[in-house]
Amino acid sequence: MSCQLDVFFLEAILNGLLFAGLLALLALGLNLIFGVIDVVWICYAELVMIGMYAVFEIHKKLGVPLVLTFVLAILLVAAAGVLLHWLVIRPVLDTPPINQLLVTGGVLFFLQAAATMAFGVEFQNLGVRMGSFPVGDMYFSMSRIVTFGVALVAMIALWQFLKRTYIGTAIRAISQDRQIMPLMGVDSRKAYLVTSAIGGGLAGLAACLMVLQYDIYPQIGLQFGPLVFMICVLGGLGNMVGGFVAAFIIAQFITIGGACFATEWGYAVAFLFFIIVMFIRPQGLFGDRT
Amino acid sequence: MLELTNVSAGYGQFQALFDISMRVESGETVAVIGANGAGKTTLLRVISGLLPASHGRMTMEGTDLAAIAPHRIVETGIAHVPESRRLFPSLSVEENLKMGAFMKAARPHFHERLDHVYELFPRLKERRDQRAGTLSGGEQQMCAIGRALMSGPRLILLDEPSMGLAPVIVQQVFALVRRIRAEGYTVLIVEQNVSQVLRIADRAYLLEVGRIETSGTAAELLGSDEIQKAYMGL
Repeated sequence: MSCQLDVFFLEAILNGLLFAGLLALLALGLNLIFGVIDVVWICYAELVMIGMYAVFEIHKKLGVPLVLTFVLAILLVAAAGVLLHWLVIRPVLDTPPINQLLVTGGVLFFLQAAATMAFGVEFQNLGVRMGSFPVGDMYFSMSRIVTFGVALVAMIALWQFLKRTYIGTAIRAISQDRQIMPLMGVDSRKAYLVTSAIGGGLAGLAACLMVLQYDIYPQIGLQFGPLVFMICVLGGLGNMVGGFVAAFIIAQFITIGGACFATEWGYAVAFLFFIIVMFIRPQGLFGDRT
Repeated sequence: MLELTNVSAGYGQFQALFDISMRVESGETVAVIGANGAGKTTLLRVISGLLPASHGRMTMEGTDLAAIAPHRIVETGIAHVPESRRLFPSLSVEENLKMGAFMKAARPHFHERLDHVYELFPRLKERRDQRAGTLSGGEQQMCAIGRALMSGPRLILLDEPSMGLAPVIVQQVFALVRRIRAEGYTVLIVEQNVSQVLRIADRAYLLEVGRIETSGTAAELLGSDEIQKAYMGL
C-alpha cells in the first residue's frame, strides 16, 4: 500500500520485469504483422484467447501431454493466422486502413462470440501449479519466470531468423519498399503468408505461456488487447525493438503503480502516460513514421 | 536476347507506350533516350514485370515474359536497377546485396558473387555493415548495381543511373556502367543525359511520347542534328 523503497517495492519492480517479457512477446507478433503487411490485427489478443482454449481442450479434454499440447496449439494458431490473412486481410489489402481496422475488429467480436458459444462464459483454469521461487524475503512465481525466459528465447530466435535467412531478410525489406520486391524475385503474397504464420505462432506461444498464469475466458482478449496495442503504438507501430522497450516501460508503470496504490491505478497511470506521449510524439517513442 | 514486338502498356486509362518493337543482342549496350515523360521508365517496368503489358509480345532468350509471374522474371536473367536506386534504407549494404541473391538459383553463388561485387566496388566492402540509407548518392548507385549483379543476370536494365547526382558523381556513375559493360554484361540503359549515354552505348532508340521515333547506332544518333538540337542543347 505504501510507496517506500522496501523489499516489496523491489519485488514489484522485478515482477514488472517478468510481466514485461510476456507483453513484449505479445507486442512483437502484432508489430511484425503491421511492419510487414501494413495491417493491424486488432483481433490479435483474440487469437491468443483461441490458443488458450486450444491448450485447455487438447490437454484437459483429450488428455494429450502438456508439451505436445503446446506444440499443437502453436501450430493451430499459426494456421489461424494464415487463415485470417487469406480470408480476411487479403481482400482488403488495398483498401483504406480504416476498413482494415474495422474488418479485423469484426473478427475480434466474432471470435469472442464464437468462443462464448463454444466454451461458455465460465472461467477455466489449466490447474498447473509451478510454485514460487524465493529470493531472500521476496517470492517470484515460477510460471512468471518460465514465461519470461521462454518469451526472451522466442524473441531472440525470431530476430536471428529475420537477420540470417533469406526469407527473414525479405520480410524486413518488404516494409521498406513493397513495389520493387518482384525485382528481387520475392513473391510478396508468399512472404505475407509466412509472416502471418509467424505472427499466429507467436500468439500461440503467448497463449501457452498465459495458461500457466491466467484463467481462460472468452473476454480475456479485452484485458490484453488494448494494452498490447498501446505498447506497439508507444514503441512506434511496426518497430519491433521499440515495442520491446515500450513493453518494459508500461509493465513498470503498471506494477509500480499497482504497488503504490492499487492494480487498477497502475493501468490508469500507464494509459495516462500513453496519452501524454501521443501528444508529444504521435509517431511513438521510437517510431519514424507518422 | 531480349525482343519486344508491338508492346503497348499504360496506367489505367492513360496509355504510356504504343507499339514498341525493339531488340537487345547479347553483349550489346543499348540506350533508350528521350525527354522526361516519354515512357522510358515505363518501358523498363514493363520488361521486368512491374507493370503488365496490355498488348504485344516480349521474349527473353525465347522465354515469353508475359507468361510468367513478375517475381520470376529475374530468373530468366534480367536484373532491373530501378529509378532512384530504391535500396532498402534500413538494411545494411550487405543485406541489400543479399536481397539481390534471393532467388533459389542464386543462393548457392552468394559468396562468390559477393566477392565479385566487392572487387568491383571496394567502397561497398568498406561499408558492408552500414545502413544503405546512409550511403552517398554515388555509393547507393554502386549498391543498387551490385544488388542487381547478385542475381547473376545476363541482361541489366539501368534506369536513369545518373539521376539526382552531382555532376562529378555522374561521371563516376558512367564509369561504373562502362565497367559493367566491360565485364561482358548486356546492358539496356535509359537516360536523359543523352550526350553521355550515347558515348557508352552501341545502339540507341529515341522514345517520344510513348513511341519509338528513331533508332540507330550510337554514333549515328550522336551525329544527328535533330537529336543534338532537341536533347543536347547544342
